Amino acid sequence: MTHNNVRQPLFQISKRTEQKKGLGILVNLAAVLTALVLGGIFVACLGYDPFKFYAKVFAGCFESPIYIKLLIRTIIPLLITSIGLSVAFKMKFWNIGAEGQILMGALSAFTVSLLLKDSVPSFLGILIVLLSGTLGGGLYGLIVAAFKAKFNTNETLLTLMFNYIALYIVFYLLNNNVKFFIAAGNGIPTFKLIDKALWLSEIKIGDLSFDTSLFIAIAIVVFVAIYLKFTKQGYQISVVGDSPNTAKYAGMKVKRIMLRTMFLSSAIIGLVGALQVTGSAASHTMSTGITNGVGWTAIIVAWLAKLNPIAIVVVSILMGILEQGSNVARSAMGISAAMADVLQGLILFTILAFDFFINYKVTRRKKFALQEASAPTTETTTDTDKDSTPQLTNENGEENNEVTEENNMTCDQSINEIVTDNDKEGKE
Amino acid sequence: MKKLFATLLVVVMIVGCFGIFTACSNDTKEFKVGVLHINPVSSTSGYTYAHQQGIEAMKKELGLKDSQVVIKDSIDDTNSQQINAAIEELLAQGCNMIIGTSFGYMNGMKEAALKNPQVVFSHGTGYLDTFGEGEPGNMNNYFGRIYQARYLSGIVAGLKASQGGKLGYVAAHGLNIAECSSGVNAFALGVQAVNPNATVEVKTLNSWFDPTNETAYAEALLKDGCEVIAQHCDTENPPAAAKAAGKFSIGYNSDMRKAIGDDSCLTSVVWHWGVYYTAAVREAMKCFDAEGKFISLDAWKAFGNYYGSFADDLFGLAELSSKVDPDTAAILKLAEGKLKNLDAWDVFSDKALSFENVDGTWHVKEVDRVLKKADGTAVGKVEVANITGDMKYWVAGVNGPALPAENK
Repeated sequence: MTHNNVRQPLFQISKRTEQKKGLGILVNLAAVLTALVLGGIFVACLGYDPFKFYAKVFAGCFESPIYIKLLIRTIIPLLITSIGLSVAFKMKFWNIGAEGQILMGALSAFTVSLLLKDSVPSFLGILIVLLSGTLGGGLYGLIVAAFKAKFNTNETLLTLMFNYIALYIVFYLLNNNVKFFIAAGNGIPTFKLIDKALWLSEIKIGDLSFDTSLFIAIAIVVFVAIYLKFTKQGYQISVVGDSPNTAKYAGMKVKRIMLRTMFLSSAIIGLVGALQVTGSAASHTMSTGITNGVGWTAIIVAWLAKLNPIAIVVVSILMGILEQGSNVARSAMGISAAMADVLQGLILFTILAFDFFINYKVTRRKKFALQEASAPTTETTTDTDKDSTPQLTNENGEENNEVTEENNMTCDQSINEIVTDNDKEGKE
Repeated sequence: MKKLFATLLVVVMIVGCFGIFTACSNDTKEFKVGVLHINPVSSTSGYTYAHQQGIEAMKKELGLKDSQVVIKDSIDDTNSQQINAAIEELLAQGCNMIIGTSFGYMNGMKEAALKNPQVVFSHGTGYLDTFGEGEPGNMNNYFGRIYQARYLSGIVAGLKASQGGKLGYVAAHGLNIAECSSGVNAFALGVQAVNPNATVEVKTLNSWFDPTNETAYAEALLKDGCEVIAQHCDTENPPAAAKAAGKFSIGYNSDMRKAIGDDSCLTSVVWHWGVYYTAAVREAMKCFDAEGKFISLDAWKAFGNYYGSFADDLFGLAELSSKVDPDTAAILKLAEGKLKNLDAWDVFSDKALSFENVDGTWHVKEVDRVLKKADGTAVGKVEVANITGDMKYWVAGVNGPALPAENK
């Protein structure tokens, strides 16, 4: 840092060099509380009783078995999509294309469902349909990864734009009445329903029912948690994410890892589409709105949870409660849907703002000078003058620190640079 | 391992919640109606506004309390998860009857109707056969012969436009949907009844709600020389575009003259949904006792599907603006008289209405005609007896987009 002679600002923001244990939890709790208070003030400004509103939010999730069922239905797609995204994000591959991958997964599953009808036993049929959805989403994501591997394209832009391609393919099929997909009837075109043999089975506990997608979601969380933490491939993802050069020097085939990881990420997300088509949440059919906006929300969930699978479960549940609850509450109290969205945004934004305090600290001028003098270097610092974005994996200082040293040397080199000169790899 | 355990714990806790809350049940003891709207209930014009006005009228007519009508608005009709959730939510609140006002709710409502045989469902603008064998039997479709009112609005527009002039029409959909194509054709026949050589240019949005293109298409039509813009879409944007261009318009759903605050909107084709909602809720209530307990579906099955006409006062024209042609009111009155008797004459019959001014008073007579398609071939017998009927052609004088190849 070269600011000895420069007049220092009153407040200085610097990256936290070490993590106090429990700080994260404390800040997060404070964030949720502040968010609720701010949201409450917002509701009060609209002229409604905030306490009644929050009571309704809670009641709207747990008051009746139907609400619990709806809550589960809200959480499942969000959870699986966030988990899927976290796999790509861990590699610092910015997959913004979950919406498109869900749609493509749904479309492949829907197509296969229409082909299969009841020609195979129910269990086998569902399995085939789910696999085809996975494959559909996976391949759709793989296209972007392949472009990146071959031409070093920007994956953020490409995945984003692929969302619209997928959406308008579905619109095309609908608006042009493509017979294979569209129900008979002279009215407005609607997609066919899939055969009853391919519906996910429902489990009933008393008045409460949910379909098998709940267990699939749990299985995926467990699988990804183990995959990322305990397998060689999971380790490779972390290394490539932290430092592609390190990965390359260690003899990893970066391109191949990237293709494989992106396929896995988008395949998991594609499965969400297949579950939506076969499950009871969305009427066992295809629709242009089948994603329910999950592809966007999941990005927030994955980030808030710092890509930690357990945290993703918790954040998904909280997000589901916020969404389902405020949906019920706004109707009950006559607040417009737009205002409910603003409230959700406000709460999320507050939590994200607090997130800042976990990664950075704000110090006043004098204090800062003292601190600098007393602690000029720290071992694990990533504190450079560059304005580095908050790191996804390592800032908690608790996980995946295996490669920190190499990481420090090369962390500013992006995956892009590696990919371009990665061709030599094969020859060695 | 610890984290795995934590995950399991979370799952167990969620499952635990079920047990606690499954005991809760809704114990309201009164008849309740749930309503699904596509747009915000706070809209001040357009589709949802028209339906909500009908719901309010029904509430007043039948003396229902506020607590007896539950509204879920802004329910996207392409998002089946949102639709299902909204229906379930209404069920959770103990609704005995659920009314869905938008087409896209059809599949979700049918599925819910099958699962909840003791709840009455009423779906607007759908076409499913719900009373046949193996069908729910507790769900009906409702709509109206809105083309009749469009014929009347055509008369208003035809009188305003110059003889042999060009009129524009912004439609939600085209030939693939009879509701839309019959509306355009009826409008054109109304125009031609008073302005024989006028033509109608049609642009289709391929969407029920697309405010941006509603403006853009109206502007394109105006640029193309159209003198009056009619609409079959949800917002007041086409009338607003006509106003901005110094031209005239015909509104739809609710009185668009009020929405844009200008008399350039000559009149609007408006629904009086209260007529249907009052009748339907009255019948549905007969299926339940005073405490909202289910008795039987007999009354509802007898009520059946609903396809109201001008004679039922389900729709009509809004008050005429000061800028209409001076003869408009007199001619409309004659045409309305004809429409009051559906069996005697309808818009697409083989007789056309002809209006004549004899010594200062207007007279109407029916003259034989051969209804022709835009390509010159004869239309033949027209069956618009129900909402599932199709009309895959434009009548002569209409210039609109052809059917997509797949659908011919």
